[in-house]
Amino acid sequence: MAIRRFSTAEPGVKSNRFWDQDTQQGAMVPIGSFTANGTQQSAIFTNIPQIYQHLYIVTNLRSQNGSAQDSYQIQVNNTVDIYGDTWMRTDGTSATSHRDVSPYYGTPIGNCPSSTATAGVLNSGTAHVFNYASSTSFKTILSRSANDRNGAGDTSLVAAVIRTTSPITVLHVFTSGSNMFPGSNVSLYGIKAGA
Amino acid sequence: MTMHHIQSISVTGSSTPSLDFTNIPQTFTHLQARTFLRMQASQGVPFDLTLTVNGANPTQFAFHRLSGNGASVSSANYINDVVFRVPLVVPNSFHPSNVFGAAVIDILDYKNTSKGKTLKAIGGQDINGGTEPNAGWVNLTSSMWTSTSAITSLSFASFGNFAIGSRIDLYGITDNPVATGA
Repeated sequence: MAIRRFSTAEPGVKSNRFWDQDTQQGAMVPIGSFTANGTQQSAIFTNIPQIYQHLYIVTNLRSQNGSAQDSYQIQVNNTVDIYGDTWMRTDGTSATSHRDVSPYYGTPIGNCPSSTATAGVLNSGTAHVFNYASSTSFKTILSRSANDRNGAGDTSLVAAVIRTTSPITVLHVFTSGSNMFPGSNVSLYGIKAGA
Repeated sequence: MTMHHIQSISVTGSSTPSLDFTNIPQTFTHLQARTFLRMQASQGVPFDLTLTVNGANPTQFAFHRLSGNGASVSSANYINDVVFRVPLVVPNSFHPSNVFGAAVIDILDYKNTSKGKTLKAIGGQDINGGTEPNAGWVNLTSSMWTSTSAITSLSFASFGNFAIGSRIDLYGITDNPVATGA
């Protein structure tokens, strides 16, 4: 959105100063934000503008699955069985790598604390979704997640593929086992490539 | 702190061996490159991405990586290199169609003439299955350049020509709320 402001500071002269709000914001532009009330399992973003180059997701999550830890996933366009991922993870004792082949509902991209973890502890996660609006390539996700529970937990790095050439217009971020804990937050940003 | 777009280069032809960013504005504090790449050549293990700085290849670079291939975690390092290196982030025609590798590459204090330059990156790709090492990889990388010269150009390359649809977006990170120099 652009705003034009006409200054009349100098008599008889009207200066035209162009102010572009998007330029003021830089290349990372907020699209939407979700805060859980305890009854939702998913943060859902619909009608995602197709004007950016990449998407950036920031999570601060806790689950209610009755355990100490849960995973969280991404699903796009309400479509199942189009995903795959490769993980590298450490729990403070060992570093491991695993692969999910054709995970059905979405692609797991990190872990978060859950019901029996110390109160007030949530995960910190970021995920990059590359070329989300492309109609010719699959989409690649890079995700980092920090799930530290003071003696337990893990940190992970994930590369995932969304096996569709359709542009992403709907995005779900959801905790795998149960509803998100109240106060959990997911924010979505667009990354511009141009003015 | 804000991020501002500097330049994007995308591959539309079949003979593109490098993606070159020249005359990088010296008005930002840090640089970030977001790469979405695939090569036309074929090799089971994904290719490395290399960054030539300022058009020269002095033996002043080194890197470390920590990687997962879906079965195990590995690490490697290399000294006396001639480029910044981000390993294992570029799939190729061996891998399923439409799969591109991605990386987020940060170079801090790129124009500072009092210190060497350090690059940090996350990157990788997944092909939904396959057999390691010819399948998905996810990597954490650091790479360094001992020179105190400011970075004014970066040339990204791998092995052979980039595939159509590859692209790199370069951003400047500044403390100023308004974009400058881009």
